[in-house]
Amino acid sequence: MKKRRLFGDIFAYIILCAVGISMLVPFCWMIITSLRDKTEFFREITGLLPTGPHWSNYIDAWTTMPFGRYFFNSFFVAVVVTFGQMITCSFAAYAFARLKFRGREPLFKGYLSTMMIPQQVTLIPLFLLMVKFRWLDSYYALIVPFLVSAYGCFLLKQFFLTIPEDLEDAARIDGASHWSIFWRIILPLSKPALAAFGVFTFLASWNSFIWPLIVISRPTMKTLPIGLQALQGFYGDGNWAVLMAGSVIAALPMIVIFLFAQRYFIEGITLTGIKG
Amino acid sequence: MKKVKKKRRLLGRDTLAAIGFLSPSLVGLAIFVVGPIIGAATISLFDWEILTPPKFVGFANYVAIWDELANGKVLRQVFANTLYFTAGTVPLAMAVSLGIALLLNRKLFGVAAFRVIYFLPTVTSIVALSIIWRLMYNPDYGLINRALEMIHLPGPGWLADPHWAMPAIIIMSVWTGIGYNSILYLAGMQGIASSYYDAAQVDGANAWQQFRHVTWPLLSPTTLFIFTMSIISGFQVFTQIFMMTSGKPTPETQVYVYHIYSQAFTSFRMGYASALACVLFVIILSITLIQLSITKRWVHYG
Repeated sequence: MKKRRLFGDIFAYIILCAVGISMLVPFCWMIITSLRDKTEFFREITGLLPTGPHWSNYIDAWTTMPFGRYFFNSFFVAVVVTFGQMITCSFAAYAFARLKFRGREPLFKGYLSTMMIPQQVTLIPLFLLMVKFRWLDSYYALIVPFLVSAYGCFLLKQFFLTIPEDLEDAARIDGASHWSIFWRIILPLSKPALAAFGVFTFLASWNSFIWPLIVISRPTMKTLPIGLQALQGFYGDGNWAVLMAGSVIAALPMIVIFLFAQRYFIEGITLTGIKG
Repeated sequence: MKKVKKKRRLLGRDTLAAIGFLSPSLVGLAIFVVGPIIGAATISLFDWEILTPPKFVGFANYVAIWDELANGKVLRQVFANTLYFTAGTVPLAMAVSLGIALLLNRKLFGVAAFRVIYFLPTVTSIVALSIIWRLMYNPDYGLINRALEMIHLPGPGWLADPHWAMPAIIIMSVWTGIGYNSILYLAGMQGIASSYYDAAQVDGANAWQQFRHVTWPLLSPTTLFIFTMSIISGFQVFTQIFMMTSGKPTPETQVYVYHIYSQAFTSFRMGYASALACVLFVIILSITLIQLSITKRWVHYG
């Protein structure tokens, strides 16, 4: 029995390693290519490694497109969207979890049903709305439509329901208002759920593509994914080394954040169960 | 009498608080979700090419969609491509992810490191991943064809080849989703009480029997959830197509959302594109409702 378990473990390691390598190879290939000489690529490559680290590709990528600005835009938008959703969703979640008012259940069902609407369906009217508001090429277009999420309301409501009400009863007898119960009791107790939800929202905003593609055309307003797309449009198949350097620049910040906060990423994914 | 009065007052105070707590999300959802969905349904009844004033045409856009589907024009191909992508990605991604999750669930030394590695594509922008894979698939300089060359196999033109373009995108998409789906599966497995396995072992069940009679049935809510979500996101695939092929070689990788995008934002047929979007909505809604009713009927909850 023990021997069988050992064989099973070895087998598991072999498969896990094989899949792990296939996961890493494209990333390694990206880094190696980003360090190659620009012309080296088109010649017959003798070794897997570049002739020497050509850091100039990174400088070229950085100067061809305003990557610093892209980075700032992505970061700013993601931070505001994340905090905005945390505020609006936790407000709504508190109302649905704790307040007694007429029409609560139908209204909550209404919130739930908006979750079934895919983003692509509202794309055209939302775009026309942005035109009407004169918000094209602005942070407003990137941020304001995403300050609310029905899914977030649902998720946080479910979490708030798991918090025992005894704590609040004591506070209520002392005459605490709903606001102070929400702010001093519910929110501090919800830190893990808020962190997981926040990380997930940040990731979705950071990587969102189709919406910024439609509403942004001015180079200084682009986010990282759209900026990277512009870099591909600029070089096409001509200069893979710089294109890969740009991809590294665009991918690296999130990978670093992930490595430091991976617990919250995993929790965020298992909690929310959807990808933006 | 007094009590009733007090109760009513309390209810009133809560209502006021509820208005305060709910209004930010209510206003946001009304303007940016409910309004636009009504807008999409309305615009779909018009012939509108942005520069010309909209003209009411009733259900003509839907009739046109039906006509194109029935008579084998571009849209039919687009639909077939979307189904091809979904049918190619979903079972493959699910099978691989389930296998990986089973292995990760053995609680081996160093499992955390594997989890991090598998998860890398999930946190990386699909735009960057698409560029990497476009290079990997390059027929002349790409890593894949170089590797095939080494073992003396002829490499196809991948993204440039009508037969291989969609499989190439499917492979890339499966690769991208493995980490995410296996984390979901793993969470489902860790929710199964170990007492079930203890009981199975007492009965002398081997590994396969334990999987077949304990893990698989108790995992059915997770499986159904991943299945539905994967189908829905299969219908919504856009970014990797846009970045890797732009629908070329036309129309082999033209998919539904790409078609909506190009009809709306390059041909500016807002009415027709909105009708397409509403059809997508109905499709996705039906999938969701089917999932909900199945969940009620046959899923085992442990």
